[in-house]
Amino acid sequence: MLILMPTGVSFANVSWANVRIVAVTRAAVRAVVEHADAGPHAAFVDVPAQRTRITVTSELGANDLAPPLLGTSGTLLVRLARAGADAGLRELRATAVVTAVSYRMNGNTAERIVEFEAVSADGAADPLTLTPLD
Amino acid sequence: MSSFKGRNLFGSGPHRVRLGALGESVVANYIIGLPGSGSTPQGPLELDITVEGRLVAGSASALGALVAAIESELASPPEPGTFIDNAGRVFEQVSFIRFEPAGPTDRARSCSIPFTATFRRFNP
Repeated sequence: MLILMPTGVSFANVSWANVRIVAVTRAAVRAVVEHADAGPHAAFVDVPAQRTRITVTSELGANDLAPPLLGTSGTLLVRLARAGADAGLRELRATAVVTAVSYRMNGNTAERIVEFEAVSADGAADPLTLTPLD
Repeated sequence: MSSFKGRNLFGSGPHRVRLGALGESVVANYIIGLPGSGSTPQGPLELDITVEGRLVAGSASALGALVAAIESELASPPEPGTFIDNAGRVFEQVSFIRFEPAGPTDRARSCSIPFTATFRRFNP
């Protein structure tokens, strides 16, 4: 999932300004790949352990002296709408833990990249929910 | 598709069948009180057939039913029957002696559990 120019982002009840990109990546931590006697190809594949990572990229206009601390847990809220409109407003919500903070230069612009690991409420529910707001 | 006594116990998921060692059972002489450092043949090895695979079901309860069906075939003392492997090879007079989960139940798109099942053809 990729969200460009979200209309609003907050984490742990603090609003984040100038967020440009929110990217959600999912990957298998453990994949089950089973073969049968009949031939060389996998006959059963499932993903019983997976992780969901969220990367929030913000444009910085000033020094960033108080970035989120690693290990901080909170609710990440991302609001998104159709380009240039308030219609189709939706909210992405996740309980997430900060796992990395880094910076890079993009031309003359400084960017802050915060990486999160999303946490499921019970291990079975998807850690992300996408809810329409209108 | 493998079967034991005509029942398809492991067909819910992929599984592989492996034959154990063939040949002679040999025991070191000092174990049976014979002199010297050699060994003495005791007769043919009992054939072990191992099935390794994964039981797959749509729910935890359905997976439990698959395990229960397998458990019901584990008699004590064992009751020999015919085992047919995935290639259609027939093994007469083999006994189902052990079923062991090889890991925890995986809950994802399916509920599944890896297993090892052992059959043995006891020598008369």
